[in-house]
Amino acid sequence: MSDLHARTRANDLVRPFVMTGGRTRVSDASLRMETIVHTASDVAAGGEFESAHIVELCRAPHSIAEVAANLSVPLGVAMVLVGDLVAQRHLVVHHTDPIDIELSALTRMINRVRTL
Amino acid sequence: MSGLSDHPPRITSVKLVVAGGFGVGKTTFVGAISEIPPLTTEAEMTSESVGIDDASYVERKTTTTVAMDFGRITVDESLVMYLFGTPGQDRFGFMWDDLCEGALGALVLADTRRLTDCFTAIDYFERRHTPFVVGVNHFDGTYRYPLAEVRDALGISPGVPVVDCDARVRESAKVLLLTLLQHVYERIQHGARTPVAGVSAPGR
Repeated sequence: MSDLHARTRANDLVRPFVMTGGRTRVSDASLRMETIVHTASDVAAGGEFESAHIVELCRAPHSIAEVAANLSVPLGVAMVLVGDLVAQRHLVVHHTDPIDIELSALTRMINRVRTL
Repeated sequence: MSGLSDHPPRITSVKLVVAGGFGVGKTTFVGAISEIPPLTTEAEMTSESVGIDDASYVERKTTTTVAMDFGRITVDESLVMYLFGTPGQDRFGFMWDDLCEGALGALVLADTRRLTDCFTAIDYFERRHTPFVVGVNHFDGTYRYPLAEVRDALGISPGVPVVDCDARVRESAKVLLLTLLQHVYERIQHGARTPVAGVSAPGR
């Protein structure tokens, strides 16, 4: 991988995955861009910059995509950072299995869109 | 997770994907219907599956950074919908796995002046068994082809809804989104529980 990878990356001003210690894999594979997380109630402010930002942001529930947009980091970076905070139990995950979407949920969606 | 699930109610998040060729109006569509101005995030996508049926293909893995727009519609305190616009260029067509995994359904926007631009999206969702509808986005001054003709040109199965739309207009965007939700509803009603099981989609 490295030559091409290194060359393309070298042009970037800041290598985004520095924030994740170079890791690109998420510790929790079930996380998706639309997965909602919120900060556990007993978590105090502090920590590394990006993580602290996420902990504060997610005092109100946010999706990982929203976390990425708010922090202006690539989605992959947000995934890794959120995955770490989940592993540390600083964030609580609202898992959604799409298979579990029921007709009642679809009806609620349909009714909501009608009122837009 | 340690027993207590903290204060907020469990929120179910639903992902819908908006696809179509470059410049077909995906971001406009998301903006017309989202309750927030569309947000942008960068996604690094791996294109290792490109050229899967190209015999001359030499295994190689590249990553591309693409901007992705998304919007949100809050249904109620425990249900949120997200609309994600796929990167438009055809060369990103096979980088959608991350994006589409777990998607409840997809909206494909078509421009009759460049109908072939949405073939990639249609192929992709058909292969993945993702429920989708086609919105024929009308641009000012373009000839309105009858929908039956568009359907025929796209070669999609009779079960897939095709509707006219104007991505700039909320009422029109609503109709397209409602068509998709209704389509998904009917599929679930008829026992098709596979479409959203992205991970185990056959033919991968």
